[in-house]
Amino acid sequence: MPPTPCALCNASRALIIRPKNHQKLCKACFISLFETEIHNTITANSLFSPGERVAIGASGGKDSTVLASVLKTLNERYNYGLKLMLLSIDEGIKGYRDDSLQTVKRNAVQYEMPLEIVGYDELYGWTMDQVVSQIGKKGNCTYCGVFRRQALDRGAARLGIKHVVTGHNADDVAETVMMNLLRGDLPRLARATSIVTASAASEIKRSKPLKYAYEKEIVLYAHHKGLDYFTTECIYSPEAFRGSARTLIKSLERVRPSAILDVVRSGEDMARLVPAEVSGGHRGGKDVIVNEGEAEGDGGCGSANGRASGGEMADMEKQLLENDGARDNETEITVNGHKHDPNCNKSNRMPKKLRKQQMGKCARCGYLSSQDICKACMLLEGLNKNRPKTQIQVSVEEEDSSPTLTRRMEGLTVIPGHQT
Amino acid sequence: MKYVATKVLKRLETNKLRGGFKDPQRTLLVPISFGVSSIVLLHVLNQQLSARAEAGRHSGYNLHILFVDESAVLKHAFLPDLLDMLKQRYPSHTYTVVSLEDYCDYDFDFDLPAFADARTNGHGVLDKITRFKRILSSLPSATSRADMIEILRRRLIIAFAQKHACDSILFGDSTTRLAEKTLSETAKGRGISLPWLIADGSPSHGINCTYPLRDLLRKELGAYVSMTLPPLTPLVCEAPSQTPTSSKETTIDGLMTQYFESVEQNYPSIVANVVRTSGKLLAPSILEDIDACTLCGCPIANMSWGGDQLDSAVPRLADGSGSEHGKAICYGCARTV
Ligand SMILES: [Zn+2]
Ligand SMILES: [Zn+2]
Ligand SMILES: [Zn+2]
Repeated sequence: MPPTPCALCNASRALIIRPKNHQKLCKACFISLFETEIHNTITANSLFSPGERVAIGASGGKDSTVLASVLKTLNERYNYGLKLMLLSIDEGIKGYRDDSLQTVKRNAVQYEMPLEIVGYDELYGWTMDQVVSQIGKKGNCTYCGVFRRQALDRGAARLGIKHVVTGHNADDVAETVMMNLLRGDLPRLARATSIVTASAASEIKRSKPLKYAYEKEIVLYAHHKGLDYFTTECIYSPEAFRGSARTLIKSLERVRPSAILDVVRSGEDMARLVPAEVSGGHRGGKDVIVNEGEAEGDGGCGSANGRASGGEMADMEKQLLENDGARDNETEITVNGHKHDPNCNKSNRMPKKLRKQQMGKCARCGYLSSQDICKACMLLEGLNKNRPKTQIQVSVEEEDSSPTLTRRMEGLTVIPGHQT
Repeated sequence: MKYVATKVLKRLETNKLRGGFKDPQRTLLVPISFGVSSIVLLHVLNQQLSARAEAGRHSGYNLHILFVDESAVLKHAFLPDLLDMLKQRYPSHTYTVVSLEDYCDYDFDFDLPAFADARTNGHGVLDKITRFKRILSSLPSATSRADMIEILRRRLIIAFAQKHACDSILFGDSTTRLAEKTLSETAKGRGISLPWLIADGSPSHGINCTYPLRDLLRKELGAYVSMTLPPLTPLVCEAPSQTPTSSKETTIDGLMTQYFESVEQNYPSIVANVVRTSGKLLAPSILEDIDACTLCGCPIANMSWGGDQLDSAVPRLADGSGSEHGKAICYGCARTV
């Protein structure tokens, strides 16, 4: 049998079946197509402006390594005029981050980009290993997410940079869409699908140029370009909802390769259908969601691989059942003096008064916060007081919920939610 | 027992379909598939009507029962006995049977170039079944075929309701089914149509569509059919849950059915939460003027670069037409054909 020619150039031999649409391509065409698509994403959304200084959130993993490599290539090819830098977070996880940081350090040399590393221990006085040894493995992704968000912003501020790009890919976005449908969080669904997120809680803009790139193509690209990246996933446990959604996305991709893009597309369209009173923010122009709450995080460490216990799904199930009971009895739940409509979804349960609160500075650390004391400081207070395990555990599955957390810290029983 | 009936009737009430005695008599179309859900729906409605008749009260509504015969596309044939049994048990309603391929008789026949050769074979106009089968076989995958059958079934029911001046359509979808649909349509790129496809009183195609079983799980309905006296079980004829023999036969809809089977088992409230959540989305027409898709009749969102360049190396930037065909189709349908 003669070798199949490449579907694009018709000259070279096809060696790659493209995951997105099963097109048979030669190596050169695949690489140029992959890069062109990211260029299209960048130009169609006007992600960058000439002369802009941009920090790449670099973990040493495949996504951020490919992002750094492609941005360097495109910046030179199309004269974006960007000044690119690498920004890494050292969570302090032995056997995971210390090794991956070595990769980032090599990348900095390979791509000739300056590298800044900010560590949890220097910022917060706690490494993730220490956090886990105190609170256990359950719910530690919450701490990691809150800490990372601030750490990225602080790292960027230290570099005098206003734009951080992250390696979120199409699979991540699709997964988040499904996950937030399952847990009923439309505001987060909307935010996850927007390519740029700006936030009143941060002077730093976040964007995801790999939003339409398939994880499988990222791996192929890294492989064929011979990129140097680190493969081990975070050793601490992922969220159950994300695990469940991830499995679903992978099955969908097997049935119809375009399904990941299609879910992303659905998510973008649904984001425009979210009623303003639910979204808790306002639309800041095309595809930019301005979030009045605190900035959206990375959704934990995003290293879900489906081995979670299912604990949060069970927790949520229990909570929903209680809500159902309240609904059936037509009772109103009153918390902290605010009336709560039991019919309203967890995502808009937060009273308007709290939501509209002015952004100020954290009294402890000076970080932008809608509360007197920011979420990270709040978590730290818990850690530092060395509270009994049970009291800290109530905050599992929360990432963006400082008001709820605050109340919990005050010892009130509040319905857990995913307010943002 | 009572729980099921109460939940169904409460839904009818919220949607003002129960019919007060001052209201004019309405005609409600109830499409049945002989699945658990549609049989339960018919049973509960019939009970309410009988109770009202016994009490000498104004019935408020008539039921028109519609069975869509899908034997053209299913492996097992439809059993006429079943329909007779149903008519015997619930004799006071109007019954109609239409075949799926009868969509050709309504004016939503598609003239997409891809289907043009489905009309004739060069000698003359083909019969409905052959045309229909040709269209299905021109589709690229099992997912597409299942999707097309769903679209045609729905459009046929709606067209029938309009032709027969029905006031409303009562679909038998359970919570579980609506949750499946939410995720399934999302996966097929039709997130924008969700308010059309699953919300009560959705503006879909100019007729009111209601889902009175939206607060009931499939397993609850399954328990109900064996608890009535006499049981409804003999009236139920469901295709055995299809475990596809090959991955080529797996469909997105099938995948979601499997997925929610397990979610319903372990986390039933999460199933209900999915439906509540997607029910909050606003119908697009409220936000902007939107064209309807030639195929599914759902709204077409503006196309923009979506990470995909299929055949051309140029991104489809802000291409409002939605397709290169003569008539515009939506993103989801463009994937299907
Ligand atoms: Zn080629
Ligand atoms: Zn602080
Ligand atoms: Zn369509």
